[in-house]
Amino acid sequence: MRWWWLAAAGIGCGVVTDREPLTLAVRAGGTGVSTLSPDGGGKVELTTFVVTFSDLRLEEPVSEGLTARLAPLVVPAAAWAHPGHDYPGDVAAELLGTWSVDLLAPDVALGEAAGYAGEFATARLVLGGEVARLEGTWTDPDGVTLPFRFVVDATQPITDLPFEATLSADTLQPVVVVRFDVVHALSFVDWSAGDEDGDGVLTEADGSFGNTVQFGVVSTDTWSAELQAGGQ
Amino acid sequence: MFCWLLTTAAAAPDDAEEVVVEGTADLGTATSRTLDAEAVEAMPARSADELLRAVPGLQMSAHGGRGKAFQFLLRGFDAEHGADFAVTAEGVPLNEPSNVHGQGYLDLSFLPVSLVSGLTLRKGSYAAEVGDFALTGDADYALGLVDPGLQAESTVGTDRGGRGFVAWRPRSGSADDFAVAELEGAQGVGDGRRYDQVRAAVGAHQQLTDGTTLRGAAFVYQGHFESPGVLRSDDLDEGLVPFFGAYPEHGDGESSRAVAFGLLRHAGARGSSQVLVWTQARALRLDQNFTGYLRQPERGDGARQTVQSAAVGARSAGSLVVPIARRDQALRGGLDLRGDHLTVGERAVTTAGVPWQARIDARVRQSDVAGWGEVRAQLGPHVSVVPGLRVERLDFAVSDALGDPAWTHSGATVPLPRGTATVQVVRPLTLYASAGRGIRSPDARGTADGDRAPVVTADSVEGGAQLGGDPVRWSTSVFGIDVANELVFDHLQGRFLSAGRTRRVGLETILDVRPTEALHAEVDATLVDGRFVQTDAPIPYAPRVLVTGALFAEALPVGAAGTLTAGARGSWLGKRPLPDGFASTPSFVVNLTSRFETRRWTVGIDVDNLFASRWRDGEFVFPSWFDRAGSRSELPVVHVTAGDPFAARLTIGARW
Repeated sequence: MRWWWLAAAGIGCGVVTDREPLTLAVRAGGTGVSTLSPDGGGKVELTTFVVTFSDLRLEEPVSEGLTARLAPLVVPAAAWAHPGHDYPGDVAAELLGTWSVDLLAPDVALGEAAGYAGEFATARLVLGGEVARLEGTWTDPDGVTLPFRFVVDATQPITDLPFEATLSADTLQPVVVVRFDVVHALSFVDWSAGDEDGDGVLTEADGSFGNTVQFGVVSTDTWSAELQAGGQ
Repeated sequence: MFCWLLTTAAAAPDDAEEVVVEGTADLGTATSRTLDAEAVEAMPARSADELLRAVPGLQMSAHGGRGKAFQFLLRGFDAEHGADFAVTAEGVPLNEPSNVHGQGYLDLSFLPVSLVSGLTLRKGSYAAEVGDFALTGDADYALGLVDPGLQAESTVGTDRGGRGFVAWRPRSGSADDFAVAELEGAQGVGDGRRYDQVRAAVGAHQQLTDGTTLRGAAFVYQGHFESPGVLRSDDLDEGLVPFFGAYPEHGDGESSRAVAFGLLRHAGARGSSQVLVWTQARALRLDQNFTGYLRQPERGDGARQTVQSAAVGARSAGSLVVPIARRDQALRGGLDLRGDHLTVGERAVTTAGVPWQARIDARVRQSDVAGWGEVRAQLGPHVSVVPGLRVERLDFAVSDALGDPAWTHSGATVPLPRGTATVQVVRPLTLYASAGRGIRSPDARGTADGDRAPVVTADSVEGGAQLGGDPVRWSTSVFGIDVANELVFDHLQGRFLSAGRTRRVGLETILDVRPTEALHAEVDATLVDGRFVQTDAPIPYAPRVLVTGALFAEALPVGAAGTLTAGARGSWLGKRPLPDGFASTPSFVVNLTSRFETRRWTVGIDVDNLFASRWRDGEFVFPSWFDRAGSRSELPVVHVTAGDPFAARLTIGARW
């Protein structure tokens, strides 16, 4: 019971506060790695690694229990066609657009996400069409070097990226960085598979390269969303 | 019927004719009230629904156009389209159970406002006679044509609309004898607000014996309306859409209703009784799209809901005055019956209105049988108590054409103890205390075969006081309402989900000043705090502060020429909590009505939104995507339904 509220409201104080708007700068980039040493030996040197993704959305905690989830819906027998009485979703901030990011270059600014202050829990983004293009050379343990060129096509969301943060309008210059882990993305590749079609270039048409590169690029663990508060 | 038999031999002059007197007497709580015919006429209201704004603390929102039921928000409840506020007309229940658009859907468009001769507005569910949906209160319209003879009126308005009205009451008859026809429509101010309505009613009464009357009435209504829907607040802020604009995807609807009743009433010296038999038929179509293309980027998110229903019912009630302990004590009791048959549907429709997917297609049969009794006991010259009990039996049968077409059956029996106590401490001070359990029946489609029907009950307690009388009266109530398990209906899945316990506490206070018989000023304020007990989160949408001020002239003599009946009423609605931590914008709006009447002529002026404020009638939070040239945002934003714009209407009438 909040009897005190009655008195407060009675003198015009009220306790209904509106949700604070919030803007977050969004940047994206790789992990600063251009040379990899696979477990089986050899060396991978990247000359190009560009990923393309769309629509970054930052989400509130999914649930504090059923009551919290239903709180916006406490309308008896609410109908679909009644405004505002279906679930409003979890998105608390978003930056819409499509970006191609050079992972071998320094982090790049994508823009400013608009949203609302509060708790954040997860992030998601969308992959569609040509989502990665990478080129470079593979040098096997015997010192033989072959160029590679992979193009990854995929259509799927990347969801549930951990992004636990509490942000208010007073948070100093919050920055969200979408990070792509190059090492993890290529960790599934069996570089010894070789140039099956004998064209002198490793491509997605050779052996398992197509599947393993794609698997790594769309892997949730390859992507992350990091908060850099204070303009760091 | 039992009560009828019990008491037909008696006669009670005090009940011989129902006399509606403006005031608050004997309604069980300090802030309940009745309006007489003159008070009704002085209330700014374009429709019978809008008269309910006389309920202190009630916020009514029209988010669907003129013809769709209002949304009711009262005592910390978002009662949606009527789920928690019961309305009757001469005792005929008007809430529609299991309506596909909302439980207890309350469309009063069939009632000509000119036929409303009184209104009883009661808070809480403390009286044993009050049944389903009355968690926050109930209202009963008294119907009758006040003026005898033939009368005709014509109205034109700046909202690009007009109205024609003819009524006849035989000079030898009573207010129960009437024939009324009304046609109204308007293009409306802005986009997507066109409507047209036609309604007609006939009524008659017959004195059967001394003290026994038979009365009957029938009403028919047909309406079509556009629904401007919602506007994104960011579109409004950026000037992408005008405040009274509408997106091309806005909806529309059609509504028709027929209601008929017969009422046999007897009054004797030691009691009274009545039997009411009623029937209704109903058809409703609503096409609405509040989210644009968010879910269906190609076809659009439109939905078409349809209801065809028929209902029959009977209510009998009787009272018997018995001398006990040298005081007259009144025993009251009654039996209420109703049966409903509905066909409900929902289909996804394209923006062009072409159905492409069936979501709901069900038939429903349900019945509600309730018996009630109470004792109006005078414990002394200044103390009365009214303990009562109501027992409600609900039964449901559902056939789902999209799922299991076999009929499923469920039911529930719910005892509802209630009571009030009144103490007149000293002559100008009366104290009230009330407690009771109210009931909200479930949408039948949420019931499961063989299970107990998921009925929501709310326990209310209330204490209040009235101080003074004429010319100054102050009334106040403090109330608390506990809903042990708030059930949320998952509309498409047809199932109920538990949202846990909710609790409301509130304060209502009313200051009435009546310096003369014809002049009346009133200020009321309502403060409510409603929360989910588990999370302490506020209940969204429900008003927390609502303040209303009004000035009324009721048949005020103006020289020898005629009388003036007028009312100006302003409401300030404080910020309301919205879902997801948002808050609404406070609003203030003033409406005005005035009628100058001579023996032959009537001139009336009505003004909506006198100060032309751009107030937000409804505010809702959800994502939407109307501009497909832009990006598909999933960020929830505030959506707005514009409040009534400034509009003035001139009425000229004559009577013979």
